[in-house]
Amino acid sequence: MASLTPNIGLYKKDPVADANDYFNITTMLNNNWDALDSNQGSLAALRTALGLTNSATLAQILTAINGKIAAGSYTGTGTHGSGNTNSLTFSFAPKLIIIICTATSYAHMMVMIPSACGFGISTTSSGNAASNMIDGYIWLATSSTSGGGKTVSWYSSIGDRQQMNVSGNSYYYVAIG
Amino acid sequence: MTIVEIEALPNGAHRNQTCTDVFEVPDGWAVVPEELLAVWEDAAPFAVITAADGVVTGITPTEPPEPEPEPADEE
Repeated sequence: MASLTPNIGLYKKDPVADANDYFNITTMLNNNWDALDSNQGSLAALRTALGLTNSATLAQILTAINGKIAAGSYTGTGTHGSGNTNSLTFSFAPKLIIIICTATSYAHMMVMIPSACGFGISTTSSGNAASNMIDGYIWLATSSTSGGGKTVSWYSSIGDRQQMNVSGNSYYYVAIG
Repeated sequence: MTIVEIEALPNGAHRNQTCTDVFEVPDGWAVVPEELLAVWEDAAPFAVITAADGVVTGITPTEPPEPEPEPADEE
């Protein structure tokens, strides 16, 4: 019995079960060529969007994509202040970093535009039930860069929580270049 | 990749980062190899770390210091 390939649905005949079928140029050949060509067209459009040549390999495409967005995590060390900065390093100079932390009783988020500004937002896990508004506060953080902007450091003078660095807590971030 | 700062902070913790990105490891930091990732994840961030040529070669978990009482989360 005929089947379709799993990735782009190319039509395949079973050489035993379909051995007596007539050869159909449309289904057995041309539709498959069209599917392959369409798939290559999508890749070509992606290469163009990333500023790559049409001969760029899949590895080069992935590198170009990864060079613009990175995600990850770190474990807090329980320190804060200008002498105890946190830092994240990338293969590119990020333009925006967002860090989040959730704990049982509160949630924190920090938004950083490296070297320009940073601020954090805190809210309790329930918010303010009466007004349906965030029940929390906003604070400023100080950030700086080194290594051509690829390493971003920051600190808060207020405390470990506000530096997004409570000991043992998991923090998750995304950086966009 | 997961990297850690080789030298511990005064409280015994090591700054660290796990990332989908692949980049040049900063001076003073080292890559945690796959065979030590589980050990690091259990210990993080408190451990004695040894490294050679930019790669972590040993992780010995240590006890975290006594936590200081957390202030109320309102400033």
